[in-house]
Parts: sequence; C-alpha cells; structure tokens
Amino acid sequence: MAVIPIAEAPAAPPSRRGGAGAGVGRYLARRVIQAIVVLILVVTIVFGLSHMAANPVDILLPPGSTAAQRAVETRLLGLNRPLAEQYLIFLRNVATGHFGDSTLFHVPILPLVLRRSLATLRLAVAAMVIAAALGVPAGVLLAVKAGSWLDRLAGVVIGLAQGVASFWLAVILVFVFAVRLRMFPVLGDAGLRSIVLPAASLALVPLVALIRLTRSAVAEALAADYARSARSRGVSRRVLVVRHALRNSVIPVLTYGGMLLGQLISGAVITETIFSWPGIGQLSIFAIQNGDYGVVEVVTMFTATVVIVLNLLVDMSYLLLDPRVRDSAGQRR
Amino acid sequence: MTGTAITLVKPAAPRASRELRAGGIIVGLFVALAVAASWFRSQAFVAQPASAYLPPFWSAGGSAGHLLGTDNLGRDVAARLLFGIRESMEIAAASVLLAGAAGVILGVSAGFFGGWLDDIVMRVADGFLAIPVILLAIGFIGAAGPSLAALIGVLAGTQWMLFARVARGETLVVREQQFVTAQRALGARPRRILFRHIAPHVLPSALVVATLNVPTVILLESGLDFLGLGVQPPTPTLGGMISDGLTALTRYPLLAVYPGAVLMILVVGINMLGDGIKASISERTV
Repeated sequence: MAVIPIAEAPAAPPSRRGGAGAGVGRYLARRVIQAIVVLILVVTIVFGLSHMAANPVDILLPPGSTAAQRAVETRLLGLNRPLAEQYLIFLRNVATGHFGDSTLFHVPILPLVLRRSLATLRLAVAAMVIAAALGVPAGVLLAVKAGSWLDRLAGVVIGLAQGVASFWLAVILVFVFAVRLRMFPVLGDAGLRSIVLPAASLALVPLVALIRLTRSAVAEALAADYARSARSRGVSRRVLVVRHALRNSVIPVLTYGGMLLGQLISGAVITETIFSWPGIGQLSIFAIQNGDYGVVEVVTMFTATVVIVLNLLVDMSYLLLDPRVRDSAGQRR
Repeated sequence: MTGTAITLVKPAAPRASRELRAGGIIVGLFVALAVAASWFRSQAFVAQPASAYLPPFWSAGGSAGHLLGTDNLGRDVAARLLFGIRESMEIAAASVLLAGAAGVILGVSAGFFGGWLDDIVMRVADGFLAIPVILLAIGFIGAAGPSLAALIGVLAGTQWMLFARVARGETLVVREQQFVTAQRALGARPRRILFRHIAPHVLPSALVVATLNVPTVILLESGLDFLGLGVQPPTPTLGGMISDGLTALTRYPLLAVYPGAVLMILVVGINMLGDGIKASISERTV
C-alpha cells in the first residue's frame, strides 16, 4: 500500500511583494531547513534507541569482570557523563563522521558501511530497472484497456501479488530457478547472473505499486477534460497517451520513486540475507546478531540520510517539471 | 487507487459489497481457524512428535493423522500452520491497535492545537518515516531484546505515523466546520470539543487506515520472524516456518510453500475487507 503524501499546506493568498522567483527561493530554503531538522531527529531517534539498549559494558567485558574493571570501561565509553552531554558528543561524532570501530570486524564503521552500500545500491538499481521496465508499460496498457477482461484479470493477479511476502517469493525463486532448473547461482555476488534472483524478488513490491500507480494516473488523465477535448480534435490515441496522459502522471510516479528507495532498503535486508548478498542489509543483520550496535546505528542514519536527500531532490524536481507547483510555491508563505 | 479508476467504469456499490462479503468470509474463516488452534493443542498428533518429513495425505506414505505431513522435527505441519495464523493475527491486531491509539491521539492533538505541538509531532513522524521500517525494527529489537512486548512495540513504532498524518488531516478539516465554531462560541472547553465533536469524525478514517494497515503489519512481522528477530522458536510462526522450509528446500519444498500460501490468502482477505470498508464508508459520506 503506497500512501502518497500530498502537499499539506493549503495555498496561501498570493503575496503582495516579491515575484514568483523570490517565493521559489524561500520555498526551497524552507524545504532544506525542514530536511535538516528531520535529519537531526533521525539522529536523536537512533541515540534514543542506543540508550535503550543493553549496557555496552556487559557486551564488551568478559563475564565475571570486577566492579573496578566495569567502572574503568564505563568511564572509557563516557557512560558516566550526563545524558545531555552524551547526546552532544554523539551529535559531534555524527557531524564529524567519527563513529568508531566495529566491534565485530575491527575496522572503522563508516568506510565499512559505505563500501557495503555499493552492493545494496547495485541490487536496488537492478530491482528498480525491472520494476520500471515492466510496471510503467503494463500500467499504461491497463489504463488504456480499463474495464476489459485483461484489466480485470490483472486486478486479480495484482490483488494476489500484494499478499506475497517478498521473502517467500525469494524462496520459491531459489527452488525453481536455482535448485531445480540450475539456471542461476543460489548464493553470493558473482557476476551478472547472481543478481537476477535477488533483484527479481526485491522488484515485486515496487512493480505492483508502479503498475497500480501508473494505471490510475493514466486513467485519470485520460478521463480529464483536456484529454477529451484533444480526442475531439482528432488527436490519435497513441499521441494522447504519450504526449498528454503519460506526462501528467509523472508527478505521482516520481513521488513514489522518492519513497521507493526506503522500501527497497527495507526489502533488501531480507533479500540480502537469503542470497548472502554482501550489502548493508546483510551487514546489519549480521551485526545485530553479534551485538555490534554501532554498525546498525550507522546503517540506519546513513540510509535515512539518503532517503531524506532523495525526497528533497524529488520535491525540487517538481519545480522543474510542473509549472503549477512552481506557481503555488511562489505564492506560499 | 484501483478503486477510484474503476468507479469511472462501473458504479461502486455492488463491487464494494462483494469485496466486503468475500473479505469478511475469508477473515472470518481465519478467525475460526485461530480459535480452533487452541483446541488442537491438547491433541495427540500435536503433542507427540512423529517421524520427520512425512508427506501430506494425498501422496504415497501420507496419512490422515497428519494432513499436511510433518516437518524436519516430526511436528504436524497443519497444526503448526494453525498456531502460526493465530500468532500472526494476534500480534498484528495488538500492534495496529497500539499504533492507531498513539497515532490518532498525537495526530488529533497536533491538528487541533497546532503551533509548536503540531511542528514537533509531524517532524518526529517525518523522522520515523525516513528510517526504513526493517532497520527501525532491527534497532528497536536490538535495543530491547526479542520479546513479545518488544515486537508489538516495534511494529506499532513503525506504523503510528500513518495514523497521525490521517488524523491530523481530518482534524484540520473538522476544526473549521461550523458546528465546531458554534461549540466554541457557546463556550465549550477544548477537551469537550476534542472528544465529543472531533474524535468521532476522525475514527472512520482511522478504522480504514487500520484495516489496510493490518496486512502490512502481518507481512512485516513475518519478515522479522523469518529473520529470527520476531517470535522465537519453537513457537510456530508463518515467517519462521518459511525460514525452516528454506533449509529443507531440496528435501521437502512443500514445507516452504504452505506457510507462504496461507500468508497470501490471509493478507488478500484482509485487503479485500479493508477495501470494502473503505468503499462503503466513502459511499455513505458522498
């Protein structure tokens, strides 16, 4: 289920002074500040979680350590300081990129996460390519044939597909294509063939969403007044779909694209674990199983940052793509 | 989304009631199965392990004593599925109730009082929305340790934002209506306006969000079970059974097929029920 956030603020009356240009500038500035605030909140949430966690002293020290040893370790980790001070230190470390070493791999955390994120990125891009290449044309087709038996059949299939857990699909794909047919390798990252099965199972959720989204956006555009008048002018159906309907459905599809990455990373955690794909998803599961909370914290903050920046870019691209958004941004307080 | 496009072609009423009925029947069946699970607990074929990897009753070597055969430890698969269904439904219901209560209270307060409270609640919601749900869940569970309470808290923690957004939006609309202005002019206290006049208008949309949210939570929860971060074995869960099936994939692939198929039917049924409720509510208001 994709919930598309719609611009919340009601359109304010047009401001007297300052043209649209100044308004767009102010809108951008407000959006950037908002993104920074959200980022700080994410860091705060992660800090809160890390303080709910079991005392790291218990994890780092062998069982049966003396009280004196525990006191030394507590002081070393800064856990004896006031919470506010610990929070400020945490913020400073985040701002300067000092996250310390992984207790599991004994290497600095940030470079480890960045390196592993490349594998996740490759998987996510492959899944997105599959979803877009199949989903957008399928959605357009179903919108054009709305109400036909094909549309109704697709509705049933999509309804069923929404109940398929992507990890279940992964298990089935492994059985059919790797165990039985031996067409693709089961595990690891060894060239182009090994990305097919993980990417296919990861593509399920965005594919279903893209088909539904494209279908309803194109169908809505085709039913709009401007489409009817174009049709009455004798514009061919192909031109109508490509030039008018598809162009007007870019915004909802793009909005979904901004949220898609977060969903893909969520899905990647499970997919990577099944296929031993060496990305940040597999890394965070491995880390949490071994009590290496620092790695999970960095992965969380890193992916949230990527999601926030991407959503900011999507919002900004509206200004380029849709003159209506540009105007209303100019008019906003 | 599909619904709105289809109404252009066909009137909504028969479709909505058909979805409502079909979804209701499926969900009702699952509730009955979940209730039946507690009766099965005392039965011999559940309590005593048989030999491992017995086939289902329709293939050679299978018996009516173990309808769907047994798993790698000789446990009855059909009985485990029933327990898994109950586990899934109970946890999802508890989590959605918790998320709904928290989200609606926060969203309505944010929309009603506005100002700094609105800013804080909605920005915190944005912060939670920016973190991929599974990572948020891993972080929570890593922090609190795997337990039933933690699991329900985690699932609610990944979903309350949806309720808060919808509740806030509804409140912003209702707040400006004349009957609220009239109440204010009559000198009603904010608390009275909130509970007597605004909350009743927010609840129907919250109910729709809740029914549509249950399938999401069921899938998320089985994902966590699959990863070993949810309900701990030996308690049977659908996600955990898929994970068991993966390890026995070459030997007995059906073990992985059953729980996923059950999960699919359950989720599709609740989705239909949710769409049906949504359609019938919007029919009434339009």
